[in-house]
Amino acid sequence: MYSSLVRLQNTFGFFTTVAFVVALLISASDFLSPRTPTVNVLKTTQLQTVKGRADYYSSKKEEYAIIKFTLDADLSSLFTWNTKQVFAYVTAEWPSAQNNNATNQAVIWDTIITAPSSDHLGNFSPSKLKRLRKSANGKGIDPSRGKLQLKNQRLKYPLTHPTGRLANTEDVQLKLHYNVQPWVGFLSWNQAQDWGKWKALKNGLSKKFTLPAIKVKEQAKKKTTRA
Amino acid sequence: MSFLRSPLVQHLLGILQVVSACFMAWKGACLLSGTPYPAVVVITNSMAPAFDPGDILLVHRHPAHDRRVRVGDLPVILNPDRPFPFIHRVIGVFYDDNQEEMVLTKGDNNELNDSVGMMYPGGQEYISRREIAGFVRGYVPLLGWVVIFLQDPIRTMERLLSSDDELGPNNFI
Repeated sequence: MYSSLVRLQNTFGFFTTVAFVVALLISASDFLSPRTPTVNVLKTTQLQTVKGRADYYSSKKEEYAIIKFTLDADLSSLFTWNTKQVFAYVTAEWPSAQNNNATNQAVIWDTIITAPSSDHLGNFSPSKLKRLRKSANGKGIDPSRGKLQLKNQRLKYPLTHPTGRLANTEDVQLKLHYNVQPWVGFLSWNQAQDWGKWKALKNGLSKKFTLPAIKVKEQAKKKTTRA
Repeated sequence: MSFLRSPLVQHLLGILQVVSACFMAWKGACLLSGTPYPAVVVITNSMAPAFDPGDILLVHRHPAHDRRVRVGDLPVILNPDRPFPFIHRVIGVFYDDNQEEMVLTKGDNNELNDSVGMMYPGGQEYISRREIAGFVRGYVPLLGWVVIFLQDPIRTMERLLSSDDELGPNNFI
C-alpha cells in the first residue's frame, strides 16, 4: 500500500510537470502568429445630450449622451487555434477636466466574438449555433469572424459621468479596443506599439468631437406652435 | 537522538516538508504577482463564455509606475460583505471633481452592471483602486475543478452530472 501511494504521487507529479510545460509551449505559440488588426472607419453619426434619471425612482437628474457611430474593422487576424474568444469594445474617452493625464473612459458598445472551438459556450440559440458551425466548416479558424461592420449603431449602455455633467464636453473620442482570450496562456489587449509579429491597431481612434449642449425647451415649444 | 531517526518522525517530517514547500510556493507566487490572490478559481458563470466555472485565472497587479485602472481590464474585486472576491470587466473609469478614480464593472454575461446589481461594498455606486486586488493576466481552463471538488465534493458531483440548466445564464453572481 505504501509503494502504490508513492507511485501515484510520482505519476501525479509527472503529470503536472508535463501539463505545465505543454501549457507554456501553447501560450508561447501565440507570439508566433502575426496579428494585423485594422480599422477602416470609426466615426460618429449622431450626437445628442439629454437630461434624465438613472431609473424611475432616483431623484438625481443626470446628463446622458446619446451617440450613434459607424464602425468598419477587421479583427480576423487575432484568431489562432488557441483563441477562445475576442472581446471587442468601443469606448468614449475624454480627458478629465482637472488633470489632462487622467482620461475618463466608458464602454458604449461591446461584443463577444467566439472562435469555432468555443461556439458551444456562447449561449447562442440553436439556429444561430448551427449557422456559426456551418460558417466555420469544421475548421479551427473562421475567416469571417472578427469583421465588424456597424452602421449608425446606437449605444448599448447609457453614457453618463458620476458628476452628472456631460454637456459641452470637449475632446471626446471613440476608440476601438479588443481583448483576446486564449484557451491557455496570457490574455492580451490592443497594444500601443508593435511587438514583433503583433502589430498595433491602426486607426483605432475617431476624430475628436464635442458633446452638444442640452436642447432648450423653448425651441421645442416653438416647433409645436408652428404646426 | 535515535528518536529523531524513528520512522514516525521521518514520516511526519516528510509531510511537513511537503506542506511547507506548498506554502512557500504559494507565498512566492503572491510576492511575484504582487497580490494576495495570485490564482483564482472561477465559480460562477457571470463572465461566460470567457471564464467558465472550473477555470483558473492568474492574477497580477499593475506595475508601480502605472497603477491606473483602464476600461477592459479584469480586476479581482474584494468586497468584505462577500466570502469570495469576484472578477468582472471594467466598463467605465471616471474622474470626478476631486480627482478620485471611480470604476464601474460588469460581468460579460450579466444584464446589469455591478453598481445597479449591488455588488459593491456598502452599496457604493463605484469602486476605487482600493477594492481591487489585482488584474487577470493569464488563463488555464478546467484545472480549477480539482479545487472546487476539494471544497465541496458532493455538490460538485451533483453539478457535473446535472443537466446544463444550473450552469446557464441565470446564475447571477
